[in-house]
Amino acid sequence: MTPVLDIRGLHLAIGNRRRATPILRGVGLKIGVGEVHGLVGESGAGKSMVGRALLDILPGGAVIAEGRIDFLGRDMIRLSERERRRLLGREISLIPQDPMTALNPVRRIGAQVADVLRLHLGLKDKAVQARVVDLLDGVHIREPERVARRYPHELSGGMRQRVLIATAFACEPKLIVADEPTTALDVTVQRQILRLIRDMQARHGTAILFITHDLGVVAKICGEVSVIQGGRILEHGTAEAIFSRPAHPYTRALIAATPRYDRPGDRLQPVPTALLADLAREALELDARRPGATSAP
Amino acid sequence: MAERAAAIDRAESAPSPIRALLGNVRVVIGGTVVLLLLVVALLADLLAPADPLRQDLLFFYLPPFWMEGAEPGFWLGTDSLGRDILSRLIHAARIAVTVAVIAASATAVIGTTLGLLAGFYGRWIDTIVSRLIDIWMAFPPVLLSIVLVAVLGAGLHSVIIAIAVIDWTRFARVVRAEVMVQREQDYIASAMVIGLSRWRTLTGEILPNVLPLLLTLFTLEMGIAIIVEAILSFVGLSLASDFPTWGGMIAEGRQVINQAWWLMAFPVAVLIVVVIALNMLGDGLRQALDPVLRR
Repeated sequence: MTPVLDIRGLHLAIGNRRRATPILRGVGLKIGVGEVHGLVGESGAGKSMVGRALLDILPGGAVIAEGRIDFLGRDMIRLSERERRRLLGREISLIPQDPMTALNPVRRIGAQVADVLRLHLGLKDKAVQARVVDLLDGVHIREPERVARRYPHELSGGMRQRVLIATAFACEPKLIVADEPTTALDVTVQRQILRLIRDMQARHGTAILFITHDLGVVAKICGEVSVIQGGRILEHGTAEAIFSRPAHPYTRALIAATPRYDRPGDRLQPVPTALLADLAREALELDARRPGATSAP
Repeated sequence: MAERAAAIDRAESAPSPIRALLGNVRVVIGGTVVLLLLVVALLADLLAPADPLRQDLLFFYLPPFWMEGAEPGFWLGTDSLGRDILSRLIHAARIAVTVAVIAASATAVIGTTLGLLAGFYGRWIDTIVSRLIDIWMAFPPVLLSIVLVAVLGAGLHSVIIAIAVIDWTRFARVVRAEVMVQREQDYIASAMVIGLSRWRTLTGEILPNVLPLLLTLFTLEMGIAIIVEAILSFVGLSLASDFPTWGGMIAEGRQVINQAWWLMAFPVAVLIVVVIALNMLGDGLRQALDPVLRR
């Protein structure tokens, strides 16, 4: 069975041809139908760039140098703009990181949820209204009719994230990129949002690429996990295997650096500097071996 | 259901934009004066006590009503040909408003279009528009407008065209910068990710966010247009000189400022009040609309 998402050898760099800084160094990742795949890494590891490359919202100056991003067997990188746009929103969607800025401040909630319905499902006014209310109700928003008429600044962060989740699931996509969907929320709301995403995922059978730095979140929601550092996938396996038998020293260090509620007395260990230096050297050696690619000093 | 209860509805209603506007002193004062100006311009025929073109050579240089030698009926006195100054001011308001509205609209359309395109698409479009702006701004605007009108020929059309051709950079600059800010916002990425085309993102998502800014700029531009029209009619490049314009009246009054100061004083005063009111309105709009929309 073809995987929903199959990323192979993805190289991405920022900057011009002369002084390109490598961001991703041959990332590979496979997500099967209905799987939740965690992509874990520190800030700057390149985890968000994987999602952005897939969704074609790379920041200015970032260029995909090489690799494939196959979505259901079709390479997203080589699709025409038009074909890509037909997939985005309908087959692939996004739950963004910061719900406070991901909604247009001057448009009503209902209108923004409706966009995707009109665009991809061709629904008309009455049907759109009804569907919007259904969707908002589906993410447990009270009084969905009223909320649909509100502006984003009138809702709390948790409510906005619910709206965005409703939008992401609106067209029953095959794949959702969840880019740190709980990072901008406070801890109590995080839990609700996480549970909501899990419930929606289970109900719709959507595959999710779950990008996060939070190992605790990964343990709760992901079946498979990839650990990314310096633009490289260092280790990949089932969540259970990663947590119980981490193979890569970096993964072990990450786990040791995460607080655990079942062992409150443990001292947290920072990731050793020597290990990071080793990884950085490895990465530079890899860069040097790539033809035509030079790394900036 | 626990989840449902937890999704607390914090939807306290924000103050409506209308209320925010009415609570702003600048908007109220500036708006009142501008509204008054519009009414006067519209109803000039009804409001003016006399025909602004009718000459009465027996009553030239009559002073305003509170001075000695004033004649009843000529509230603000008469000019060198015995024409009623109040009536001329009122009819001149019509010209000023016409120029302000049409010229500011034309300026807004040209400048906003170029600014939107440059800010959103960037690359070569931005390069071209930005260099054009640079070139335009290298010319002194008043001189450029005088040259333009001289080439196009005197008249109201030329004045309006000159203002639009010269001042579009004001809109283009501001709109371009604002679009560049908005373009980097997450909600634009969200719009692209649901598959909206670039054009729809620009018109449907970014333009509404730039609208309050446009409203402010438009008001300010009206003030500028009125001043430019006054300048051009002062140097005799607007309407024919017997038809009343504020600039034309100032030019006439300047020559006899020592004998009859009121000829120049009244149009100058009106001009100042109107332009200050427009600027106040623009400032107030920015203040009142910003916090609501840019939270």
